[in-house]
Amino acid sequence: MQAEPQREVDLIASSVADGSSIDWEERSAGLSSRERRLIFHLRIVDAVAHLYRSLPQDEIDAGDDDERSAAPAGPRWGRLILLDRIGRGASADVFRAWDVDLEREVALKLLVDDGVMEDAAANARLLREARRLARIRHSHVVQIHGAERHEGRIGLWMEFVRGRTLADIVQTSGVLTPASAAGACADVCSAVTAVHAAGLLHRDIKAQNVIREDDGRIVLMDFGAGAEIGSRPSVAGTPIYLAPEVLAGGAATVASDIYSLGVLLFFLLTGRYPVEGSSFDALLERHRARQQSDATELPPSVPPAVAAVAARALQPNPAERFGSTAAFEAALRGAINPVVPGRAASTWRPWVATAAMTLMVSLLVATVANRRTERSVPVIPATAIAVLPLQAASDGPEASIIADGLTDELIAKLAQVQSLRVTAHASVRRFRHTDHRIDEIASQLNVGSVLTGSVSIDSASDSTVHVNLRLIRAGSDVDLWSQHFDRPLGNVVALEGEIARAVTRGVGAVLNGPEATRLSRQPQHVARAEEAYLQARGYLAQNRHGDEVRPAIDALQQAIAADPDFAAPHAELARAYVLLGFDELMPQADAYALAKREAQRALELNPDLPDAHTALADISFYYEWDWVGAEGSYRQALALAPSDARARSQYARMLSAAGRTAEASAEARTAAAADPFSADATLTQGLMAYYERRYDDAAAMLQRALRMDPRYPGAWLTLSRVAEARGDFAEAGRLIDRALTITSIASWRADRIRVRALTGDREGARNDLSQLQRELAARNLTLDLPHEAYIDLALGDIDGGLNRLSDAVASRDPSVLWMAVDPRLDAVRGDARFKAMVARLGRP
Amino acid sequence: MRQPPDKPEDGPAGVGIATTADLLQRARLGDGDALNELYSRYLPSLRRWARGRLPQWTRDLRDTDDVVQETLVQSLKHIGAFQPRHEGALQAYLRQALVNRVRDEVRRTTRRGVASEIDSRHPDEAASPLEQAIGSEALARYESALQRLRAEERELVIARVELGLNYQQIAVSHGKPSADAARMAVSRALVRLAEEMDDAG
Repeated sequence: MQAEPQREVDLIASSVADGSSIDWEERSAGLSSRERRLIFHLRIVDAVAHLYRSLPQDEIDAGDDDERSAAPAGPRWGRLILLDRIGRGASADVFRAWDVDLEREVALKLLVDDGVMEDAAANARLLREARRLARIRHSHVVQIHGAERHEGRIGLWMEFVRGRTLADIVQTSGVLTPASAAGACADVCSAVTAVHAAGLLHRDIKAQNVIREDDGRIVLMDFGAGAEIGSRPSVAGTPIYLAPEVLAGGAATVASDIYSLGVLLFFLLTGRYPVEGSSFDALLERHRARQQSDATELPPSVPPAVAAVAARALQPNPAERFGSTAAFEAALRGAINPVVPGRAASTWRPWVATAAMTLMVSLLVATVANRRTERSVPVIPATAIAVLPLQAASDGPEASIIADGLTDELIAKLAQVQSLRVTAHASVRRFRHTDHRIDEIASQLNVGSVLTGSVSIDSASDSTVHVNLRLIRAGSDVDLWSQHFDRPLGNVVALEGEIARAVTRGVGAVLNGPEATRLSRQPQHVARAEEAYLQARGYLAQNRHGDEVRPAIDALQQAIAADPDFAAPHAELARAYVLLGFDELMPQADAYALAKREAQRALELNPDLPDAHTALADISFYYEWDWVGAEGSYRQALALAPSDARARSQYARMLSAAGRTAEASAEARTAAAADPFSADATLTQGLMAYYERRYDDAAAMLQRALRMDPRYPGAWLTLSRVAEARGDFAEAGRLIDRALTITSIASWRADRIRVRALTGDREGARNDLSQLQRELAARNLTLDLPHEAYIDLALGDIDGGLNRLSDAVASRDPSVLWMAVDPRLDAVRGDARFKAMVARLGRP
Repeated sequence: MRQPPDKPEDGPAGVGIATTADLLQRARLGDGDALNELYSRYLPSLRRWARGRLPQWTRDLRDTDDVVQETLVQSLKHIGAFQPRHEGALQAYLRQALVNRVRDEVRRTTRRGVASEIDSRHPDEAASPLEQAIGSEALARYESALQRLRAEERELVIARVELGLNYQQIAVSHGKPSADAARMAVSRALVRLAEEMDDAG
């Protein structure tokens, strides 16, 4: 069968890339002329590739006599496949390698084989290093996996740490913030504490030997210079990091490791060293001079507490340094915990050292050090991420709506990555205009990394969109990634995929194959269509109720008119029609037909669009009562976008109607975790509790939802149902009135009438009902059958109520889908006619 | 069995990886080993590229390999403040240096009066192997489309099609998270190239 045209071009491009043979004639058959032309061009490219491949390979590589510098892949050493060389020392090479047995990536330190004679000393050194490492097990120390001899070469292999050395970070990105430097150094302290506890000294602590992994973990590497505490090995280490007493020929001690840690801290804060010199002698000379003068100077931006810690670690006299690395670590952690709550790091005033202040700092350090043991802060992984609303850098309401649309689209893209937990848009909107610190926001949202940025549209030129982004690791002020993008409108949705990929890498996560394919697509759209689409997403993201979704619908229709093959606006339009139908702003039958058409069109254009599957699921469930189909579509949507809180909430609601209450509550909880400040996700949790007759929980949830969005009519209405279920009809009436001040929907007015009937005011209820029916008739509408039925029941007309309810079931009115679990119907639940109706719902 | 994972995008990962940037930095400071390492990294692919790109007659003037080798040594020596964003960028820089070098070479030869001799040659001999293979018009179309691609797309096409790097190498040199990601990026770049070739009419 012929694949769809663009897909066929993609497949042929892959074949050209792979160098596989292609039957050009057959592959072009049945395609449009444009596709055939594209394939023709690919054939030219294939010819170019073929020509190059035909050039003699051996000749090309001739002269490359350094075998070890050849490209990676292939050679084996024992059970390891050497992938590429990542480091080279005098006596050993370090490779990234693959452990075939344990199926994991490792770093292999392999002694160089010069083919002449075995270097016994080097062998012994490497084995000693392996044994030292094997004695230490600590999260901040590289973990050794094994050491062996194969084919005459000794190697030791350890965990492969993905990240950058602190030296590299400072060199390329500049010095760390005080908090970040102190945090990293404290982690290294804890690693060295473990080293010392194993009876060893590290002796070569330096920024080059510490790697910050992509997820922020600090790892101490390279134990080649390590030695037993108390032994007298020859001087080792890097001179600029050496304590003065070691430089002068003394033995390495715990105190000298502490000094090196102080140099590391100083370097991270300043990019310089406390004592610099180009030779051993020069260094010694400077150390002597320093002993007479004042301590090392740190820039005023360094908080006094951190500066005091650095100064103590760098004391020339070992006895005046910290007594242990644990004490050093405690002092550091104390120094970076907020001394004055809410005070930003950048507001530190220049520090003038005074005895009083030093004393204060010492006391504080002591206090914090004592408390530290009680404090155990769980580290939230960087893969739990929140995208803060992108700020509109250009003026005008349009720019701000588009910024919202871009934020929403970006969150939707990230939500598609299985290995990420992405906070939903509704929950980040509250931080739209806020001066909260990133750490506070991250802590409130329970995430480990935060993406912030701004967007502006250069409408003067060719509507170029400029996006500036920063990905920050919470708790460290460290940028995991940052980038500026300029894209013409029309390429911005494609850009969002590119950003999502970069962010995924930035937090150290990996895309699986299908995700990479989906997020790598580069759809090009008509500029106007994309602009309108982003506006619509911006509107829809603003949690609009009732008629407020109309501008979104207009914008989506414009997008589709400008670019009918743009899939996403069809999906959003389907979603908007479903909303209009629910809010009774459009006849249900029309809403159904339009929503279904748009959802199907969206899926024809892009079968991987999560929103389209969610819309289709809503339609299957509400309008077609196709429980199995709906569940399949919800699951498909969630497989494509695991962090999509909205799809999960809807799925939870369907499960509750199906009577699968435990699953429903679990899904609702997961949705709320991804969307902790969303009134909608919280309402769903409240609803689940209501259907389970956990009325106290339900009321608490609904009140919470209302604190998040006091204008959320659905939450007021549901709260009134809870009051009703508890028998407080007066309160129920008051709560519905509140909902009706926001959106006056006929079915809710019917609910109000029903509650009036329940209070005993049957006359008033009947009058209100007549009034409502007259108003509806004037607009050629009628009250939905189920709501009439509920009023009948409240008025005591059981037969009339059940008959109407039966008609509602026969006409597949979506309102009765929950009748099996709806507390409002508890009074008739035992009736055989009711049981028969429930059976007709077709629940699986 | 699971496949080995690949290197993350942002390059310098792992135990003291010697990235191109590191090597360049060290080479600038006079580290001969770093220079050698860079040299052996880039020589094979540049040679291959030159063999396809240089017209037969320029290749006759001097041994192509010598030209490549000299260019590489000179370029690396005088690399100054060049800060490649990724390894593919250095590739591009070195190719440009090679093209400039060949131009100089041609100018010198022309001044020496070889031009008339060149003109009288059989057209095929004046053409590069590439031109001979696909014809000058198709080559021109390919070339100009290649230039219109985004730099990253262009480098991906050249790396795979012309330099013959495998996906694993492309992933490493172009900052792709895996060989599979590199393969997809190359395929996409090829589609973009075909579209550009089509737009050229």
